[in-house]
Amino acid sequence: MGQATIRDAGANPYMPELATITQVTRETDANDVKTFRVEFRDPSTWERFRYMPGQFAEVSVFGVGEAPISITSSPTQQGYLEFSVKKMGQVTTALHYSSEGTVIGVRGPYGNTFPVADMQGKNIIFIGGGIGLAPLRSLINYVLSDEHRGEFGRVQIIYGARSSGDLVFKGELERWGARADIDQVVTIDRPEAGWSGRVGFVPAVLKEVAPRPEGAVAVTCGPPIMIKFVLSTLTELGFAPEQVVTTLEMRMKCGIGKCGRCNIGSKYVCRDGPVFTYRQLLEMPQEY
Amino acid sequence: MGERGSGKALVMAKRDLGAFARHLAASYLVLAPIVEGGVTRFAVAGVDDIGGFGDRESVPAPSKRPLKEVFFPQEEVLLAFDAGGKVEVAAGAAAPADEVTRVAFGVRPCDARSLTLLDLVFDAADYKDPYYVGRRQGTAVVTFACTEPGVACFCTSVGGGPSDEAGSDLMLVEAGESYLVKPLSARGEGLLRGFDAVREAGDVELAAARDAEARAVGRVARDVPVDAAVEKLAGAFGDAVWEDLYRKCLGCAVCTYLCPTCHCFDIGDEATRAGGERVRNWDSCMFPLFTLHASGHNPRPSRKERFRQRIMHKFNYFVENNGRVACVGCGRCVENCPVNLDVRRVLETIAAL
Amino acid sequence: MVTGDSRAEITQRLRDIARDLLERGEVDVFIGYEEGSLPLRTTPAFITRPDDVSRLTWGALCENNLATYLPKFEGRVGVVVKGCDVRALVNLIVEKQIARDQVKIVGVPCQGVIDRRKLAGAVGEGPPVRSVEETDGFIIVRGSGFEKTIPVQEMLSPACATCVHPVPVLYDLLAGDEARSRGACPREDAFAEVERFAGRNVEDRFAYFAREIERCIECYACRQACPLCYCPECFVDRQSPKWVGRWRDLSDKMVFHLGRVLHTAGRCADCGACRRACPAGIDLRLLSKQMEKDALEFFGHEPGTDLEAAPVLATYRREDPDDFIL
Repeated sequence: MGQATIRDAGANPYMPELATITQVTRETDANDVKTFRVEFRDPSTWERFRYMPGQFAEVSVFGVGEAPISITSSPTQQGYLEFSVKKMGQVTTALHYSSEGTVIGVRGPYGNTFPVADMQGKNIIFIGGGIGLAPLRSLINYVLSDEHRGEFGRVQIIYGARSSGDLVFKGELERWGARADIDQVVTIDRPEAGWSGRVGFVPAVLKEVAPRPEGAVAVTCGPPIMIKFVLSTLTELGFAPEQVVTTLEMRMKCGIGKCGRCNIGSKYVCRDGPVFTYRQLLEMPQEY
Repeated sequence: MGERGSGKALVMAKRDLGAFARHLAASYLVLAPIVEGGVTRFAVAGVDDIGGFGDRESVPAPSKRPLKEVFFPQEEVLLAFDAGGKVEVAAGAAAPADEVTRVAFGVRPCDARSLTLLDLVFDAADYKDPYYVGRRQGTAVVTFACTEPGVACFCTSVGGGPSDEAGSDLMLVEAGESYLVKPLSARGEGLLRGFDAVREAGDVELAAARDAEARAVGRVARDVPVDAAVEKLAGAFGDAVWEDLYRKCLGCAVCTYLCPTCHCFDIGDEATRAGGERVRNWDSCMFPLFTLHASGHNPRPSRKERFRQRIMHKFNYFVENNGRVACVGCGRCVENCPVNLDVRRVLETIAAL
Repeated sequence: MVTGDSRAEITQRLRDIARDLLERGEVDVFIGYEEGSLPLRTTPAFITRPDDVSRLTWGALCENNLATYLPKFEGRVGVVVKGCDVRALVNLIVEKQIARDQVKIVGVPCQGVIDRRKLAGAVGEGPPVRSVEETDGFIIVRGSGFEKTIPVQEMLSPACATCVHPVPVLYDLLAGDEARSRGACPREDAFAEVERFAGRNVEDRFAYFAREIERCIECYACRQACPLCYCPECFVDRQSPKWVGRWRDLSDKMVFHLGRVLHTAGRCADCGACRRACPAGIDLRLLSKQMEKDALEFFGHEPGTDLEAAPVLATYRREDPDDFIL
């Protein structure tokens, strides 16, 4: 995996950078997922805040608390960060009640990165479910960016949600789907009036689409149950565990491997992850 | 911490202990084991407490609550913020202190050793916790070698011992009517500056201290096969033995909160009228909430997984990450467990797998 | 009165019962006590094989309330209970945390359990106790260079002094002779301590609780040791609404302790498990005892003595006192 960059060890690791919400995008019909674009109040923060796809940040709503949230923007998109947030706990709920202009805290970037160096020259298959597309989106936009597109082979995106209303990044899905260098399949769990796309669970659709494992890397994120079936389907399709990359979620507090809760065996998801290959997962205790 | 002392052993008469405590109190804030409502903990020693040290025949009693709270308190404010979005490091917890301002006095070797383990977490190469590091750098540790280890002690099984010097700046060892005074760092030597009641140790005192040390080692009742357990734990995650081991565990946090090396914490905000504060609290892997996701999923859903986590963290994961077991054998978890779930027996069972 | 042979007899009887229950397949697990790892301790034993019953023991150091392991217990279980323990178990059955036919209740006519804190006080400071021997009504403690013989009756837990039901009110099998139990405390004397305390002025009483609760380290051993604290999510752990602040001021700690007492009101039968579990030695009984008194005086309810009695604070009767409502 790409290694985490360690910030100045002498700095207070709990001090967040201040950032202003500049744009709020409603993603789902149920309004339970929103994307927040934020800009650092002090532009010099960018000198310290250099991230790569796969990393996350501890996002604070002052007076409510912090939550670890994957960075969904790509480092190729400069001048802002984006976080797509599902309304789940206290902090994410408070974020959902925040509007443009609100000042929030951002600590990070934390964790390792998707192994972009190892992916060079390879076909990449993105397999996402629901809000799980958020961390993948950072890598997708990185790979599709003008400066990096040539470094990678074909791109395939298989993305699903419970219903059409639960699909996130709809505008981008349209743009990606329209590109000639991308094969994209979007699916929903159950048939719906007016839906002309595919219907079926992501692992089943993956099996039908049957991407070839030769010279490919599969990157997946979604609900735990989806990931579980995607991993076994990829294995059936001939993908070696080293060719499969996923990113995990855990309850976290510090984000820097100290507070003790996000470990799987001796690995801390916040520090040694959140990105793991399936090979690594197989070697770790099944406690996540 | 810091450079080593000259290593020259000194002695002071036992009756001068009070004078030494007063000498320290003149220049430093002295934290010592203080009894509050029947519970001994390290707290700021008042004039009466310090005066009392001289009257004691023996050393201050071991504290029930661990030394760690002097460096890593159960609750602490990390940051303060106001409604306008100004965020500041909480007052009193700023940059590391360059000079020693506090003395932890009457520490036991196991507790002093625990600091060297906490350092691996809070004073690591990747991140420095300024709150911990500041207190650590600003606090000298004066340790008393143990002469009468308790029935739950097993320090000698985890690399320590009744006169283990790890983590101490100055060590006092009983030697007949005197204390052998061993400066173990420049900071320890600094504590003796201006204190006249010490002289160089003679052979008789050195011999008496050696005898006392050997006697104390002999009194650490139990030899726990920690190395064998550590070895077995590497492959024990899925073993059925956990099913038996955890059963009587109540799932409280006595073991983790009284443990001098347990360091897991929680961070959260409290809103105030003016803004708010970001607070760090001790947390415990024994609580279900510790790992509960906002979605309701819990990777460690029952007491079995949580109990296993505690043992694995101390004797496997910490070893993998830091090369040492996260235990100093102080016996607090053994003595205070409401159901006598004894970690020594747990390790013995695992070693025998 | 307690005799040494009754202790050995009870131990033997418990082993026989456990063996019988396990051999006949009437229980999957038998929960009793075995020797602990420290001189003054016994420890809960979960016995699943008849050959292991020899681990079981009985004595004045069998302090834990084993009913705490029973909420949501899966399978059939035999459990050793003292007079106070079974009252918690009765509550668990009434509150449908365990089915009556799931559990074989093995009662012991109780002779009282030793309060380790009291015993530590009697032994005094100095070298630690390294071994303990229980004989006819006495406990002999030894350490390097000392030996003390202390009457068990003087070392009993404070809850034992006010125990009205030393013989379990409900059992399937009784391991011992009822007549040999400790004499019951007359009901009119059971609340003498709380009545005395209630006679002090309010500032005094508040100061007392403040001093006690100040020492709380929020380890929740009291809650975890209590058979009645089986909520999947305790109110103190709730984030929304949040009951307890992160600063953990006295008021935060008070909220927990008062909540705990009120939540067990009309259910708590003063087994003393909370107090024994507390590493800070907080007096956790006093307020609970007051609740027990109130339940009896206001509602004629004696917690955990009647499988047919509905939980007192979960029922309404027209004659319930209501003069506290303005």
